[in-house]
Amino acid sequence: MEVWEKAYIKDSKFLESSHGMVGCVICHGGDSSVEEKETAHQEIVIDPSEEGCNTCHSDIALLNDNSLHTTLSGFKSKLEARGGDLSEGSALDTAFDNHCQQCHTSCGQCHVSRPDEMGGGLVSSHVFKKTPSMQNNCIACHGARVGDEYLGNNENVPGDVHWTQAGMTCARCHGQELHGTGMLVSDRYSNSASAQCEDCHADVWTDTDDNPQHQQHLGDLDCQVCHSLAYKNCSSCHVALDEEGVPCRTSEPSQMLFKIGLNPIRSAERPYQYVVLRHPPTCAGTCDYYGSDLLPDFDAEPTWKYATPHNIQLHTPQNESCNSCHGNADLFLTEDDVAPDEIEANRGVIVIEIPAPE
Amino acid sequence: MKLDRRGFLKASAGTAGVVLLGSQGLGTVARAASSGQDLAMLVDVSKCVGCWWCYAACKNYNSLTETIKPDPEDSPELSPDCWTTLFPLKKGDDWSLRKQACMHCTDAACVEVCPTGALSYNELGFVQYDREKCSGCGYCAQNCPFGIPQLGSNRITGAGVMDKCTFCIDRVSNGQPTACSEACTTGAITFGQRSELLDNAGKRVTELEKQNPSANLYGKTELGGLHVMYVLDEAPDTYGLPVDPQVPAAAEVRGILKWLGIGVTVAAAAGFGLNYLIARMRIARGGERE
Repeated sequence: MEVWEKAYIKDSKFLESSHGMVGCVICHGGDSSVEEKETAHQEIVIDPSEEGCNTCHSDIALLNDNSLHTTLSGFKSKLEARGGDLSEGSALDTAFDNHCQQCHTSCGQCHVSRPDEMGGGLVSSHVFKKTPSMQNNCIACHGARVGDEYLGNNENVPGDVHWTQAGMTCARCHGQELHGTGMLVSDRYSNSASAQCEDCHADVWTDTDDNPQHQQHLGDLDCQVCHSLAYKNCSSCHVALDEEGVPCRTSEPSQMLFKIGLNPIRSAERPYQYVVLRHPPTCAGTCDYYGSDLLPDFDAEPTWKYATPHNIQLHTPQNESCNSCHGNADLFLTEDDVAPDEIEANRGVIVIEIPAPE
Repeated sequence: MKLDRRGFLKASAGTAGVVLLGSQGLGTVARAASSGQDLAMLVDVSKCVGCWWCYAACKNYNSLTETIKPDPEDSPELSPDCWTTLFPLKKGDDWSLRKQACMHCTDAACVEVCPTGALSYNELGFVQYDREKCSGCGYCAQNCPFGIPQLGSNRITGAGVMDKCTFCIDRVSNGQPTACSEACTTGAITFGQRSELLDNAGKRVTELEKQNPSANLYGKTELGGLHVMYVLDEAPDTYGLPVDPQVPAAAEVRGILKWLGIGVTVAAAAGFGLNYLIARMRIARGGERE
């Protein structure tokens, strides 16, 4: 068998598709007039996404140009908010390129192969998938936190009812929003097209007669405050290059916690006073390998972040009764929960006064 | 080898026969205008987004040397290795692109002028090319009003060679659409019965005319009816198409010359025959004298 015959491009489903009809070179380049491999593969484009897809899928591609998956502006905006200098060639920019940039996804890394960060590789021959594979694409990157929560992989924490009872894949809620709205946004919560619980559960606004808790708290508490369970929190991530120059990272073991705090991004769309907060891996010294004090204004952003844990349940320990929450300091993010060097950064989200018992 | 009189006469008669047969092969067959039942393609320029899928599908299907998606700024020229391309028309910052390949004319200049019969009409009315018969003379390239046939040269002998769109004859004969039309994702290239395509084209032009009075249909009657027609949003010449394409006069003269050639050949053959008979008679008489 010839080497090329082993490549997974021979699926008739692909070869008979529009993408399969046009051959390899139009997208991947190279020189088809020669038989010698090295010459034929010169100037080959492994991941032709941007240039290759734009002409036909211009509507989506134009949106996607500014999506978080493409621009990673979510990372950038937080680093800049903390005084980070991301100008070309700066130490932080180098760190960004070596580490953060690996999370960039191209069109093809969702719609034909697995993401590069997870080792790449075609998912199903070269067949393009309009809806990416939940397991091979979404969870490949969003696995440690969202994926484990959703599928119930965290010890003693059941999976999300949308999965365990309804078998809904990511795309059932997260569709076109993943390509963004064309606007450059600073994080996923700023995307006006983001999936909302109310998109399906509009009745939460009208079932207040049967559900006094909704009547009491709707608009004040994010849904996850009452309907999600403990989730993974990470800390002390440090990035570096190993002896061979390969990017690597270390962090503290993750912790399963459930913490309600004050909403750090309160807005008309997200008016809730209380939300669930998650500690992401970042710390003040995350990029110390590349230089000291690269985030001089680290305290400008809380390290406990607005979170939407994906382990939704109808019944949770905190919604059993009023006093499951009221007066239960364990559920709230208090100063005791926050690392001493992060207290300043989290002033705006730490709960000072625990809601009184009923 | 000594050729005696009888041998010479036989050879002469044989040669005349071959020339005569050859002349028959070159004869211009009067062709009716396209019946409308023919298969054809319609290219709607207003629907083309310039993805080059048609170009790539043609290359891939016909095993021609491929290149990565071309830039309209540097649109590939037609050649024996490139049977379809896009004619680029700059409109502001954008490009408007017209797929360009053999039109498969009902009255094709290339067929008219081809001296070796390498270009001919096939049973479906498309212009087919037989590389084996091609002498590389380049008359087709000189006479096609659309500039489609382009000569390359044989890498070993240096002799001129031509090649061009076959209208995917092997696919079409098997009930499949052409590769370019199948690959077209926007509906800019449609394949089907010419009469149906003309109906669709008429409707499309009417629709476009509401916004753009320049919209027009090209290829309905040109050269007896083209098998590749266009819905254009600008005048044909803006897109590099001749407004009133004609089989060049040279081709007409060649047509006349062909018949003249046949006449001369027939006369020559008759002369040879007559000569033969007279010679026989003289030989017979000479024999009697002896």
